[in-house]
Amino acid sequence: MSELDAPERALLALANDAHDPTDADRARVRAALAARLGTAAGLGVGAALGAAATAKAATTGVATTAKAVAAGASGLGSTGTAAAVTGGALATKLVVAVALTATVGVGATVRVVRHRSHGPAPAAQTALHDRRTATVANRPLAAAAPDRPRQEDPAAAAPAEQPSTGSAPPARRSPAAPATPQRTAEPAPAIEAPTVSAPPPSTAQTAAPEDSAKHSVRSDSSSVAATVSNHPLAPATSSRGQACGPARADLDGPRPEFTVADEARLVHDGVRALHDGQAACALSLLDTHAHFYPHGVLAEERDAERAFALADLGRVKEARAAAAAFLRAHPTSPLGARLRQRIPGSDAANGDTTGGTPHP
Amino acid sequence: MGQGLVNGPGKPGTSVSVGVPPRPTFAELYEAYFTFVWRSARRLGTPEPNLDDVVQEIFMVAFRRQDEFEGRSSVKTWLYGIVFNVVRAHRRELAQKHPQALAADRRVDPDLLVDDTDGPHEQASKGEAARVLDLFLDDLDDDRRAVFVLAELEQLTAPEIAAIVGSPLNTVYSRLRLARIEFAKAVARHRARDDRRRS
Repeated sequence: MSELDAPERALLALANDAHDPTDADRARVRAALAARLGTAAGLGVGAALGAAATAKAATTGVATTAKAVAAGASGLGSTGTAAAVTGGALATKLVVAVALTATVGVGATVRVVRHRSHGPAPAAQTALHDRRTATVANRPLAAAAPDRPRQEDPAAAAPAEQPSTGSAPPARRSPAAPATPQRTAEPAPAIEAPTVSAPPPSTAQTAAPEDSAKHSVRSDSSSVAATVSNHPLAPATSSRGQACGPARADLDGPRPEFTVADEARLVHDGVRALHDGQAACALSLLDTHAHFYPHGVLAEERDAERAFALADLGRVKEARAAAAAFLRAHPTSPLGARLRQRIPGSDAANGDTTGGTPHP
Repeated sequence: MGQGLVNGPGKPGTSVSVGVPPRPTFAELYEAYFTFVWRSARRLGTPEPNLDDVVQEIFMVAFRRQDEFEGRSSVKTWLYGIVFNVVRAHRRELAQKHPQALAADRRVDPDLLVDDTDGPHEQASKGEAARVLDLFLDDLDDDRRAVFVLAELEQLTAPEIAAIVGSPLNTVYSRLRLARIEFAKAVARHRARDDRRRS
């Protein structure tokens, strides 16, 4: 195999650090990840927001309001304001609009809207915007109040107790997507959601928890927020066999434009539902993932988790078949060991129903 | 899942390829490997306007899969596998949905690559070298690009590359050989333009 000559190596050496990020890049992505992952990632939302706002103030022209950072760090009881961050390194303009509306434990909303000075097509811009809006809303209290118990996080709470704001179905980004069953009559044509559209704090604080979700729908005309609030996850219960994924009609909708984030979120929520004992819900979400992203980045993980979900539901034959199919498709996957352990007979399955019951 | 990877106070940036690897927290993982992930995502062909999103997705996947990391490979190699897959999926989506986004990333005027301020090629500015490299990488097909970046810029071994890209070792060698030939041609073209400009 030929090696590079000196001129080529010299050029590579010169260009070696050409693609390194700036501190502003690091802080900006960290803040976004902290908002998406909440306290689980240990990235520190308040610190990340502060870092994002201050890291490169001198060189990138960061402008942020102290009020917004304070709202992001302290969370409850504050109605959002905006933090505008302009990054010069990538010639991007980052506008972070944080709107926090506190209710008694539920109903908080965090919005992040970012625009770029250049980027993909307008449709892609819209998709990016939508994704952020819904994504951050997925972790409202984790972002707003890191010290609060996880049970108070609507995204982590049992679906039967609170409407989940978990993974929005990909169809939410399509204006033509079928409305979800609980969708209100409120017109929702706007892709660009209003920055702050929450009810007055006094109203929210006196509302019953179940009313909070309604408020978040009624008071917000954006299709994104309405769809998230009415995500089919919301009515899911712990009863076996009840699905919580999108209705079949949703699966017939247009395929999303940008999919990686939604793909990861679908699988993430499916796994979390599985861990929460919501196997039917998990299966529905994972099936949704399989529908929209049959060859997605997380297809391997999805297939394994789907087998687990089937096993948890007691659908032994299907679980074993799914596990066998997985092992055939991914013979070297690290997930294979878990599958073999929890679903005995996976290797020789292919419809064999005489084996033992999958381990819980 | 929590913070996962938390079996020890792993020190960011330390070697994790031999013995019992230190297992950093996710936050430490982020701090230690953000530059690597960002740089790799860009070099593998993520358009610059989309870098933020792709890097976020890479760390989201890493967060989801951190429990799968069992120390059989280095964190860097494990992470690079995620980078490779996410970037590849992203580029496929772009090629299908918004090919203009990929095309826009290629628009580099070769004449602008010449730094006419001083010196021979070896003394060219970092910016000029970076533009030459960008143009070269943009013109490579995805498979060769990945192998070239991993081998020549990230200094990974051929077996590591084969594991990451999921190709046989001989295929990796073949792609690398062809990519090196292409790179030599690209550098030669650049030098010829430079000489022509200066003559």
